Amino acid sequence: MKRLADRDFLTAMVLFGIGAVFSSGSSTDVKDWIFPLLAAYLILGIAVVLLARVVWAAVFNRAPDVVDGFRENWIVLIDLLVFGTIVLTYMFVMNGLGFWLASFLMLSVASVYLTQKKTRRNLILAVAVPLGVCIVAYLVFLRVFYVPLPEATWWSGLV
Amino acid sequence: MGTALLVPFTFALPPGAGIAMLGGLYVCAMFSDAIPAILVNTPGTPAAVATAFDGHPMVLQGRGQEAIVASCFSSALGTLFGATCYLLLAWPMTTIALKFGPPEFFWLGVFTLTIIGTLVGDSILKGLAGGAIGLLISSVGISHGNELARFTFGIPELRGGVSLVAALIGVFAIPQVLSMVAELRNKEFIAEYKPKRGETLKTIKKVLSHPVHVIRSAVIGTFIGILPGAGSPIAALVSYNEAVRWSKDKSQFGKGDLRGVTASEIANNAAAPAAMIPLITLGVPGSAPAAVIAGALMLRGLNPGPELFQTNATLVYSFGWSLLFAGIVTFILGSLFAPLLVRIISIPLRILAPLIMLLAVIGAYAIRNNIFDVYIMLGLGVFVFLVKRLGFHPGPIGLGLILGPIIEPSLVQALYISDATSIGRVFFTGTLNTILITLSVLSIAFVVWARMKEMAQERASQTAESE
Repeated sequence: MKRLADRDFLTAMVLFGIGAVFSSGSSTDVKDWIFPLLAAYLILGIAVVLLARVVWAAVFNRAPDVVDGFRENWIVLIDLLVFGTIVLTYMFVMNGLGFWLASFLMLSVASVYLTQKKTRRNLILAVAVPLGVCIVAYLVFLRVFYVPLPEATWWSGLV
Repeated sequence: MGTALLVPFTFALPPGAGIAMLGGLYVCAMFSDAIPAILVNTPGTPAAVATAFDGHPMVLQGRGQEAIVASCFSSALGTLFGATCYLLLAWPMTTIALKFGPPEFFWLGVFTLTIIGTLVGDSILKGLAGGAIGLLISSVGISHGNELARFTFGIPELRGGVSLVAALIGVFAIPQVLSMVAELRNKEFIAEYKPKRGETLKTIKKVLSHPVHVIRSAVIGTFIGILPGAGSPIAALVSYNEAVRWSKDKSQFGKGDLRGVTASEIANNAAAPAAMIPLITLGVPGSAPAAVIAGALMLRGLNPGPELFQTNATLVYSFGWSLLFAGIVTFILGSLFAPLLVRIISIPLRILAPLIMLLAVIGAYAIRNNIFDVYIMLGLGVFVFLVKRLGFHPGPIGLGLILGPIIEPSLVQALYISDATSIGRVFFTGTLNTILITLSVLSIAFVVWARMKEMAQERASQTAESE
């Protein structure tokens, strides 16, 4: 079972997947596909070599190079999942709430969650810093450089 | 993007001052893109990718101020060299640049790809695979031959291709943010920072203690800068590769070697004024910011090209002097603010990680005003974060992304040319092709030789230990 968590084996599987997805193109003119196909075949070739290495290691009973999972440190996994969820929610609500309000919410919610010692000072900092950053970024990007960022569609807000 | 944003501000100024302002910003940006590359391992532009290889490890070793000062001093040196070449050697250098056609650009790209050998970390195979993944991602979109949609999977937004900036932010910044979140419970900051007195002078002496390295990096940067389309990223990568190759002690590269930072920064800054040479002499912009400057000139009714030398020689030469002056100002400001800039690493990770995420989103979105670029950035970021656990290095993936848009069009154009003659004649004849092929072969041979030597040394030490 450990062989399935071997670094080379997992890499080979990932490369087979990428190679398969990107080696599907064809047309009458080879010039359209020659470049991506060469890269895709290189990836498939490397995947084959890595797989051969895994088989070789198994035949000669060499210990597999097992990838470190998050199983030993599930708190880190939870942190990553929560942070990922906050960022995905941010992406989802950005068009509705508008860029700046959504950004402020993302920053403050993420900072509050990631603050380990939830003292009053730390929590105030976790909200005040995002507010300051959003105000400065708003002034710089929108008022000085006129960089258009997504506007609110759920309400006629700040931008 | 900075030069484009500044264009409206130049309308109120006389042409000379307006163009000098744009050139100054371009030169300063070539230094400032190194700041996030060094401090948070997130290159500000593609030109700073190579700076991050050694700059960020220096920060982790508590040498952040040294890295920033070295970067701004090197940037100033590179700019001075490039601007001097602009002022004195513009025409002879243009003659050499004109000899570069599609096959030569193809081989230049292949030669630059050999840098993967110095970036791969533990596995050459995974380095190569990473480079190929980067090349594949860069090939998404409309083909260069018959304009066919490739790998768009029915998503209309992919027809425009993957934004290089968004992809690079995804490859470098997002894994860094996720790593910060993962390490948050074990460390509060990126690294410790203690301000040191006299650091600027010490660092300048260290940089100048390698004069050959400095000159080589400046020459490479200037030469690649004049090649239209190659630009600062290629200059920095080739210079870094050559610094590793010519160094007697290669073991510290990628682990915080000052020469890694200086090689990249000297070259990318030398390439910035050099990119103006084909613009001013031929009207062909050498890089994207040079194209913006060309546009700004045209808006004033000034057509870049040989005519400009005859009709507006004062503007042409004052522009060169302004670039030179910008290099000096970059150094003064950079070294003054270095102690302040390094304090970014003292921001707690709990606040820094979401902040970098916000800046990454703005950076990815603002280039094309397309939210799809942000999704691509996030997807790529998560992918690279995961494959890093399998032993991949983000460097080769970023390298593939940068080189893909240079290698593929050159390859396709050269193939079209070969329709009229033969592939062998187009790709394998001519002095420049021969030089570039020889350099590529030597570069690969050098990597293989260095690996074999390393393995032999490892085997010898293992045998000695067992005895």
